[in-house]
Amino acid sequence: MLLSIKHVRKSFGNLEVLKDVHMDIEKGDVVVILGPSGSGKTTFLRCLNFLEKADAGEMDFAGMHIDLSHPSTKEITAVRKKTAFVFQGYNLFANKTVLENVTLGLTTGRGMKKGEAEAIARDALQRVGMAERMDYYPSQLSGGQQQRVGIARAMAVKPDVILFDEPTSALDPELVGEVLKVMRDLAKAGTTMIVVTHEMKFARDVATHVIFMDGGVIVEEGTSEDIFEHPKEERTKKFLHRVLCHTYE
Amino acid sequence: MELDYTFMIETFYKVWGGIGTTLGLTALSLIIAAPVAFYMAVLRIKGNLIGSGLTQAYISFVRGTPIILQILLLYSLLPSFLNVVVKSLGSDFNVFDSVDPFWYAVVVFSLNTIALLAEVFRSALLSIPKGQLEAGVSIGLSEFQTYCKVIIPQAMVVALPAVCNITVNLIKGTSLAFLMTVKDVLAIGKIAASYGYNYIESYLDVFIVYLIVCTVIQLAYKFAEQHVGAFRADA
Amino acid sequence: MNSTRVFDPSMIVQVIPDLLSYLDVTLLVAVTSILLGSLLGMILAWARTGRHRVLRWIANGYIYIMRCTPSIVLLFIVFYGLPKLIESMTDYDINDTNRAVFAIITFTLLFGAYISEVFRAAYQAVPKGQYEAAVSIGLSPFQAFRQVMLPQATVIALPNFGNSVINLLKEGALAYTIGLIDMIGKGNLIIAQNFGAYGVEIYLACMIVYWIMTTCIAKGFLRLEEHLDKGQSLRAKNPARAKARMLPVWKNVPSLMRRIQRQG
Repeated sequence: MLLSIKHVRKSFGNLEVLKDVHMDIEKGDVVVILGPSGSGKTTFLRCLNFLEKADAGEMDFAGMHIDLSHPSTKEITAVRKKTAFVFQGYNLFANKTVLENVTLGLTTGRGMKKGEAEAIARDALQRVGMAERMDYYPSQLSGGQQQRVGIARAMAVKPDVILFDEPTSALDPELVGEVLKVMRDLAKAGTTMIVVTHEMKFARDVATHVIFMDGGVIVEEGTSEDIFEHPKEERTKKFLHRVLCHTYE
Repeated sequence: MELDYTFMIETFYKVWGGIGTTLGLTALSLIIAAPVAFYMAVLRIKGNLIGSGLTQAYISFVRGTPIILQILLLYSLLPSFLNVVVKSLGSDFNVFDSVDPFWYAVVVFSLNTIALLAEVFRSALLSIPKGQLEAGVSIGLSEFQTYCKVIIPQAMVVALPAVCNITVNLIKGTSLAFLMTVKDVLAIGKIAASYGYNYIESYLDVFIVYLIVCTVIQLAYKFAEQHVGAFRADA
Repeated sequence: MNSTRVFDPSMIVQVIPDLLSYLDVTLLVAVTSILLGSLLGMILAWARTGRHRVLRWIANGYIYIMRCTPSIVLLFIVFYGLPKLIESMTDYDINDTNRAVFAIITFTLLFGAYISEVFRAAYQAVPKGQYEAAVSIGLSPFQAFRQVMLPQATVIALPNFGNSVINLLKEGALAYTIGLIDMIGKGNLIIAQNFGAYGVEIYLACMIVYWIMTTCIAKGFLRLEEHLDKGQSLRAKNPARAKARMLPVWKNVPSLMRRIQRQG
């Protein structure tokens, strides 16, 4: 088991967004989390990286057993160094070039030498097809290009798992394809990924494991075939019906 | 440190009496400055090279020099200048004895406020999207009408927070009028202070009076902002 | 003041060197206050954005009070009140301390309050996602602040910082009212030596010096902003794009010439 999470709870004021959520991941898994907006999937993902502090929960990861409600600074740093996050709004560092965006986590974050970091960054940028734009600033790139750099930034630190938070939701429709292609390539290369998305075709083709969340709980989970071809729960069926009709119309 | 509280309370009422002068000076300067500043703002946006250039130079000079120097300069200049004008008109009116220095202060602070307000008005006018003018013209209003009915009302709301700032700074700035022997809040406090060397007590009084006045002014502007800004989504 | 004397422009030029020899006092007060005030401003901004409620309350109150206090009143309170306060507490007489010290204390207190607003607003203007992205790739919170937040906040703060510096320089002109012999103090001495004459000329000369200084500072900050701005705004200078724009023109000249020749 690479990563195991149990009993995650989280409330914002009176609103309970996560009610006892769990997840187990093996190396090489591509887990896709589906669900209507407001179902708590993004919050769950953010809790994994401590961008949001859970009210309760446990995590087993990289030989550590962590109480999610009271993580120590050391544990937070350790988890963040072994994971990477791809944001919905890209969040590229506005004051740094494309290359610097990718090397920062290696040099400052992990104390790597600059030359070594740049070699890794070049390779990562090559893989997402952004090697030609290394000296550009984020403001000079399209949304799709920015997100590809965001993925390269996450790949470069060689994390055990990459977390994707709706990576294509902020993009214009014609730019979604280029980002999904990069993600497919990553999955093919055996990268462990947890993806929150609304891209059903991607989920169906790439996911090794699909989780359907609604109202802060996991309603149903299984292989992509289980969920898409033989959904058991009424809520899952309704959701898929609504979304798939819309997508393939 | 022992403060003389009886003196402090007595002086507070004396100092409070200067508030009319302070507020009068502030209000008059704002009222005189506003129309001129608006004209300058329009000149900066639409005026020819000379008009816009001169306005810009004036604004830059006033904003680029300390107000205390503006006071010292005009206070050495205005009375003699006025005297020359009066004498050349053949009147035997005695400028030096008969003109209340309050009026020199009004001139100084008006001239200063013009420059500050002009910049605020200009950026407020520029902040209104061009589509507003185009929409006005498209339904048959003249450009002038569109400015009066649509653009200026919107711009004034945009300008309000900055005008509040200018007002607060102006109130504080009028405390320098004591250099022109105007009897405002600070001047009264200063006189009371030097009488018995109770400096701290009287300046603390002055300080409290300004704190009260500025608080009231800021609340008033906040109230105004909420009412005239009703059409804005974020208001 | 009472004499109706002819204005003498040559006097302006004459006194400027004399006035400039006291400019160092003016600048010393301003620069020291800006440095110490920035430090105070950082602490205040940190307190205001922090989690500690009491600290936040104190910082907010302090800033509000400073915003409502005329600089000259604060200057008088510090100049007359501070020696008395210290004497009553420690039996130590600081009445003979250099007047510049009182001016610096006053302007530090003022500048700290103004500038903390600038710092806080700039820090909060940097999107929160920038911080999240930095820690998500393994930077420590301090590294994220130092490498990602601070550089961006600096560029955002720069125009307002420049404005505050200019305002402080102008407020510094008040220092002569407590008897500090700075540039204006010297100007007043010259006027006194001439029995009240040349007031207009000398004040004008001082104003010209201030005008030049403030204009240069404003220009300087504009340059600095352009220099530090790395792609955050559209105004940014960008080598890649500048090259892209220039190259075609370069390359096109010979081909254009050839085409013209062929047609001829």
